Amino acid sequence: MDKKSLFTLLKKEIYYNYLISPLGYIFAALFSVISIWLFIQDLFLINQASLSPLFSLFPFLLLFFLPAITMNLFAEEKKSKTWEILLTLPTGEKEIVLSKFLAALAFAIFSMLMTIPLVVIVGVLGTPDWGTIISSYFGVTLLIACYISLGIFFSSLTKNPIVSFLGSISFLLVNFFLGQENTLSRLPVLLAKIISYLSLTFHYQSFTQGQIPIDSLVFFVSWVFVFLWLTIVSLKSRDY
Amino acid sequence: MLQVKNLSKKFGDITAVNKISFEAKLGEVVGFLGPNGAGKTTTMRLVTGFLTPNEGKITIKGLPPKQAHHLIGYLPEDNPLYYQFTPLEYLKFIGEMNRLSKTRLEKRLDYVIRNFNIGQVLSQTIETLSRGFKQRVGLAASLIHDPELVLMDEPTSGLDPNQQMEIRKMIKKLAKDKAVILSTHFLAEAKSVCDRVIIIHHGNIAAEEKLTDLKRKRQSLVKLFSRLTRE
Repeated sequence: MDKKSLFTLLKKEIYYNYLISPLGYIFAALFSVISIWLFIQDLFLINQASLSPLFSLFPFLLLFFLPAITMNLFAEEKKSKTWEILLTLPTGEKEIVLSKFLAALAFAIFSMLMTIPLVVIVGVLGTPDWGTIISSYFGVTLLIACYISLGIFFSSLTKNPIVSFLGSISFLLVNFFLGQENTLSRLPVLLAKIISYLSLTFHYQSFTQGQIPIDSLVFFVSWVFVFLWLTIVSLKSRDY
Repeated sequence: MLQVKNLSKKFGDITAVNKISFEAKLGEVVGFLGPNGAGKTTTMRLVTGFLTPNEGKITIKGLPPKQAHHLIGYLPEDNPLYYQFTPLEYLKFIGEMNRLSKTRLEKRLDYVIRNFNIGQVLSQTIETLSRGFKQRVGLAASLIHDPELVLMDEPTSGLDPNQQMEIRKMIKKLAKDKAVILSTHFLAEAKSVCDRVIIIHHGNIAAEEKLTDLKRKRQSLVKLFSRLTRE
């Protein structure tokens, strides 16, 4: 791994895709507004200052937001042919993929941190379980990493950002619904067990209950590793 | 500088490049001529390491293309650029990726900005530039790290006659201490800029001639080209 070129690429990705692009600002603003709105709704309707409803909505909410961030990452480079420049610079596919992943992850975490004022409100109004809040944020971060790695993979498969967007959403929606209780309860026990294990939401739920299970941690990390590796393979297959 | 031996590239059942061999030396401009789909761009992409050959060997100063990226300057077909960058940001990015030190990068920036006359557009975003300026930015980026081998895929395509002349002058100037390979549709361009031409047709080398030899033999490049590439 060439750290110097990774750092230069990372700088370029953050600056080019998020700082000078309006998409980054729109994403951050929309994400914050929706999160705050969901939180306030609960605060006034059920008279409860809790972050749990917000954390339980994140998997579904991010499922639409993150593919919008990742859809361009490779598809646009292919469409505008700049990937020919990128892939003939003195660096490798590994550094290129990792830089795009890390930049998108950093940006998504930054957007998520905009919900910190809500944590402060909860702290002022009630007596929250800080351990659960911390493990939930950790879980969301892992979930974001999984969504982004999958989105980057879909973006590497096509020149069309819309195809990449719809591909990522479809895959994540199927994965999301497979992890829901009402889907799993209709399946034979063994099959339900296998399918729930492959569902991101299933693993994420433990984090929102204040736990950090090692097997879920391994699952999330493996997911990211597999999709980043598939993206590298997809870039290398430009020959065919 | 560049040696290509028995190079072949297939896409599925289609042979884009078929066992071609050639070389390019420092101080020489080699022109790739050929009709659309002849295999010129594929050959360039193989030499830059963007594509991997099915057969054959490419060496640049003894190194395979993927290990020689720092020795290569490449202007791809249609001059792709990061349009939201300003020329200065883009040139810095390419320079940093080529591991130029801060002082070296400053010197090279100064050199390419002066030689390609892009000083007045440095802080505009690339998307707002005219086609001619975009082409200059692409050329400046391909030369920012002072590469020894420069590949240009149709560098004057889409430019007006004045801009074409300007770019040709620049190519001639930079060719003094580099090996330059350019692909072009314009035979007049090949005549004015190249020392040697390689005519590619259906992925094969149909002819390889020094322009001085053609002149000596009183052979016309136009006639040779149309005879070899007629369907």
